[in-house]
Amino acid sequence: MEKNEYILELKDVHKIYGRGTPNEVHALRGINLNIRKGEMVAMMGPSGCGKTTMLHIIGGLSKPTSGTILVNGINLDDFSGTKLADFRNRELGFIFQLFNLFPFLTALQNVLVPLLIQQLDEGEARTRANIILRELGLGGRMDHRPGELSGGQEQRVAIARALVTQPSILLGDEPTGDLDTLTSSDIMDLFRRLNQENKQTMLLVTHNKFVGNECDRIIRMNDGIVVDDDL
Amino acid sequence: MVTPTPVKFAYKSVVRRRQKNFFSILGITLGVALLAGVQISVDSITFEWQNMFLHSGGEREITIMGITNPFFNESIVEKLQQANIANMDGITGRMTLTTTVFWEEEGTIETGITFEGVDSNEDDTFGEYKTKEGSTIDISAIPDGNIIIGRELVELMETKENKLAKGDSIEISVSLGSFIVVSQPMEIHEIYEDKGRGEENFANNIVVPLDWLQTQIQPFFSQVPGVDSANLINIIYCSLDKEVSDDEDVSDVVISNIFGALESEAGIPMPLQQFIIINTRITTSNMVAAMMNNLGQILWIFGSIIIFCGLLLITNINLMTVEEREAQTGIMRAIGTKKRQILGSYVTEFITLGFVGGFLGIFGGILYGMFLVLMFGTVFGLSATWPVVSSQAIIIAFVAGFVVSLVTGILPAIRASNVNIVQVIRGIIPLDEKEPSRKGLYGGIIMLLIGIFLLGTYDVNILEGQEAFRQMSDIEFFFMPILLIAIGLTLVVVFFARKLVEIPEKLALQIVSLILVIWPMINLLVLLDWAIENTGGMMLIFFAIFSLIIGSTMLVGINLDLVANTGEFIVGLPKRFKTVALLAFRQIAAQKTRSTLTFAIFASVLTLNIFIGTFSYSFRYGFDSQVNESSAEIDLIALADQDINQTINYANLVKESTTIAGSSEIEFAAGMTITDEAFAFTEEPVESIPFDDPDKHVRAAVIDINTTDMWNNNEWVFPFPLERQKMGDFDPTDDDELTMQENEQAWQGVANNSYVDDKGKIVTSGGKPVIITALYTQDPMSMEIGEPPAGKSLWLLNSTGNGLIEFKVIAHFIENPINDFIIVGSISPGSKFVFFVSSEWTNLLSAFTQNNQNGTENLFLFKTSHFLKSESNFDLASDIESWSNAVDKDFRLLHSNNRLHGIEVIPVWDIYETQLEFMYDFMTFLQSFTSMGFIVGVMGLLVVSIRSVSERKREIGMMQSIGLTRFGVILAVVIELITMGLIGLAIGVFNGIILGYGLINVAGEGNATFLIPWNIIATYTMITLGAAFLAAIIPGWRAQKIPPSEALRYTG
Ligand SMILES: Nc1ncnc2c1ncn2[C@@H]1O[C@H](COP(=O)(O)OP(=O)(O)OP(=O)(O)O)[C@@H](O)[C@H]1O
Ligand SMILES: [Mg+2]
Repeated sequence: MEKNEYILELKDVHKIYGRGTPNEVHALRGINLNIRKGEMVAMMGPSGCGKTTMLHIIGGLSKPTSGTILVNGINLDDFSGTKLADFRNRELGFIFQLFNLFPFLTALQNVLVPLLIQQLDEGEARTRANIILRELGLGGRMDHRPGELSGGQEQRVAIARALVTQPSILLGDEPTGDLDTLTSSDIMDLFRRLNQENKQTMLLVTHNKFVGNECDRIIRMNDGIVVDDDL
Repeated sequence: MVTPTPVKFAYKSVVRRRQKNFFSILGITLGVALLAGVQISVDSITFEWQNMFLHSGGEREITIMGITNPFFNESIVEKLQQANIANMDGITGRMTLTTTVFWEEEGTIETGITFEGVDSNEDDTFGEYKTKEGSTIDISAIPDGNIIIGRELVELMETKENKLAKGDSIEISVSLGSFIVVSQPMEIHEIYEDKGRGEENFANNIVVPLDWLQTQIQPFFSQVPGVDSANLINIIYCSLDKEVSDDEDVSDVVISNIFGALESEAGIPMPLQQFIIINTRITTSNMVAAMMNNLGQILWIFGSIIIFCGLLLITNINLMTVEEREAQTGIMRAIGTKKRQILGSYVTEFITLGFVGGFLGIFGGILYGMFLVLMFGTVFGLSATWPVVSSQAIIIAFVAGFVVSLVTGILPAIRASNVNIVQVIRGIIPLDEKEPSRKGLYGGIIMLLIGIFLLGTYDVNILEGQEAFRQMSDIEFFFMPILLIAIGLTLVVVFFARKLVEIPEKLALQIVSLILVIWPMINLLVLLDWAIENTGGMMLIFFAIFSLIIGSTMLVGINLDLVANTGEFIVGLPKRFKTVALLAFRQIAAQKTRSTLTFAIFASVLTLNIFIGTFSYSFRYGFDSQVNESSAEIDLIALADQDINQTINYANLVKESTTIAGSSEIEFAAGMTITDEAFAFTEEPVESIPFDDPDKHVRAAVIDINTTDMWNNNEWVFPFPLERQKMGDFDPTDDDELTMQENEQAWQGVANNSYVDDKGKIVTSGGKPVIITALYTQDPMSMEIGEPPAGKSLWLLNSTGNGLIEFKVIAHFIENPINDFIIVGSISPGSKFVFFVSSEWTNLLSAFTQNNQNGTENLFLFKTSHFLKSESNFDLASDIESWSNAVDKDFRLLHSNNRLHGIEVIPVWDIYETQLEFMYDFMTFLQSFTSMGFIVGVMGLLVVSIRSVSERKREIGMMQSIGLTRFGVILAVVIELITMGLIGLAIGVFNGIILGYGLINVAGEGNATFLIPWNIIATYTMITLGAAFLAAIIPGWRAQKIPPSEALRYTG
């Protein structure tokens, strides 16, 4: 009972890059963090403090040097490669900080990919991708390739791709970084709505106070540790 | 010290991007290796070949032979020596006869072997006979009745079980005209090897001391008036001083000095009419040069495709590097680097890469050349030597590789300092070009003009339609002008049409690439069939290769979207493959230039290999049906070195024999006579018979034919196919083969001693006797064929030797085993014609009476119940051979005088195999020549794909982050490369088959049946799929192993 309360639990997570080399970086130095299902969390902190690293570890994209990550009470270490892939596909939505999209696919195709991985019927997949792209104001840009989109549009396609599978956890690395205030507040409204309607958990890295304030909870990091958690 | 920035920057990017540069260098290395390899191997093989022939000639620059009296006294040699002719280094006289060799123990027999009497004091410049251990054999130490024998001949006679050795005896039978001058068992004193200069016929002969041989033949000449029968020789060899041995002018002077000395020193009046003096070495080396020219041409045609692959490889690799720089250049310019500095750094970098790659590539090329020379040696039985690496080859390959790598690397970079790099390099392969620009219009007009101009310069008018394509050289000529006109016209028309109506995009490009594909197809599939004269044609193949490769690659490249959509649809049919299908095919479609360059490598390597595969396969097996037909149901041919009296009826004895195991399978046997060379005159001699005018006479072997030889109970047993060319107006349709009925009539005409008129029709009165001529090879090297038309007269010497009998040609043999056997079996090596006349007439011909050949037989044909290729025919042949030659046994006892007739029995299939063997060998060699290219091409492809996939780390990380499994990641890459492979394969199979068809037409002269080598295609399909799979799995596997988080941070 107690355990299932948290959708995400990080226990004493460390990450050391380039161990044993002169370039060794201790990026995470013992993170302890619990996030409830349906929480909308903002993560803030100075550049290089380890935010991206933490998101990657939560998503199983890289392994922590030590410590455990429990998702819905299950240790990520216990997942096999295929299961991990399936977990990422169904439960997680990623929005990356940089170069989010496949350059050789159109906006629509980019959004389609995660649905096709689920082997959803193509017709239905298209409808869903269409809806979400339109919702993000990209109705007229469906058949454009990333190279033909503005930075903000690219970012919104990435958001659409992360949301289209209705993941239970959304991991956003500065999802509104390239967006103007108006658009970014629109996006935040969408996040908020999805969060409330679908009980989707959101973990958003941001430098933007406004975004932070929109969230239920702000976690502040510095130099690889959590320095403040306003829970 | 201040290092200039560009150098510093270039140095850094070379050193820092170690792995990528490694691949760039490897790509350039492989490309240059292909360039150098082709040049080195062509050079080396030319050298080897030249060596092979000159070696067989020893240091015999000049040969002297008698015309009217083949034998003359050896004192002439001394006289010539005393004449002290300038530049003449050595001189020797020999006696060269032919012999039959029979090895009793094994029952193996070889006829037509050179039996040579060598002077024991001979200058060693003419070659030393060396044992396996390398010691020189002293000719004077050969005891009487002993021989030394060449290794090659020994190997020919030996079987697996039984080996010949020193001390063994073999039976020798040397004949001279109708006399048998040597007939006895002789002991092998030594076996000599084909080593050291000067050994004739590749150690394929028998040598005895000249003195001994002279004693043997003396009795036969003692009665001949005017001949001093002692110390006869029949050939004189001269060698020249080393420095001038290859100088044609010097040897011409020496020859005229020899003639002078013959007259002044030896006292021979009018030596020009008595002796023929041949410039042996120059003749041989000119012949080799001509042959090598042909061979070199073929090697270069195939080699050029390999080179093309090398260039594609370099371009592809450099495109990647340049594309990658796009962002970098932007950043450098953003932080204020000057254009000149950017350019400088690129130039420095590409020079470094090109230099290192080019340098390494030369070593690769030498390796490639070494491999080929080794293969060449193995295939043609030569001892392999070090490849000939000319500085020219190295420089050309290096410079070409270097320049291409610079041009493909720097040109885009130069423009990149102004415009978008990728856009520029894509402009090099104009798949995305908007169409057709004003530039295109001008290009089109220029092409049109050049095309029309070229057409105008040629003396054959294309408006004559089919008539204009009678010769392959015409077709060859028309290829380029018409191609230029067609392309030019397209560009011009589309340019103006665009102004008037809506025209689909890329229409001009589509049409141009279609023209590039279709025009060579028309040439190879249709026009070549129209040609009746096989002159030229190689260049056509060369043009066609490139037109096809470029056209088909362009066509697919332009329509890559269509290909990708189709591929995506098909692969994505099962739902679980939808994602990978999307990823793989969008990747292909998005990177058109790179994709096109990649499958172009596949396409050209495969075109080459399927091309050669088709060609060699058809050459290997396409002759079967031809051979079956032209064998005219003869399964075995027996040839006796010495004539057998007709009354003995050898053919029937064989057929009825109870001791020959398989003789009951002989259905029909016939015996006939073939003469030694006979003179036949091609023009009516008005005053005197033109013996000395080679333009007016031919030398031929004459065969007598009678009804019983050909008909058995009214059934025609040997249906020899004939063809006929009408006298007078040249109508190629009449050149066709005759119907079976017409064939039969013609042969009846000869056998029944009928007469023919001026048109070659059989008439009851008023005509001339019938003669059938066989196609002949005027010059075995150039394969030139002469065909006297029906109704043409030929005059043969009558039995007095002073008068002539006129015959009229009724038809001629297409191909027949008898004729082929005579050329291959080296009986009467001078005869290139074979004439068939009725046995009624032969006793009136000098060819028969002079050698007492009337009433004798020496040529026997057997028809068995086995099919031509059957092993049983081979067994039967060897059984008949043993039965016919064994001492004190079988035929020789039946024949009562126990004389060795030297009867050699050959399965007809064997004759053709011997003929085709050289071709097969050459094909084997070609295949290894190109499969090496294939391997290197595939290696290059691996390099390209490994680099290309390595660049996609980010994307692969992203795929994983949105839930694609590792398997899916690899699968996407595999599908992408397999698609490249399949496109290449499809193009290769298509092109290869068309080219194969064309080359068979050009080189096979219509004799080989075109066969599609499905097994070869299947093999290459497997190899291609395997290679594509490897090219995908290696980088794919590596990429998916990187933790996604790191992959996502990858910036190139
Ligand atoms: N592959 C790597 N090897 C070595 N060090 C790394 C690697 N990836 C990240 N780092 C280092 O780890 C630290 C944390 O990086 P991270 O990307 O998590 O920072 P961040 O908090 O996301 O910063 P930003 O707000 O600038 O995106 C940084 O100091 C970075 O230099
Ligand atoms: Mg970050």
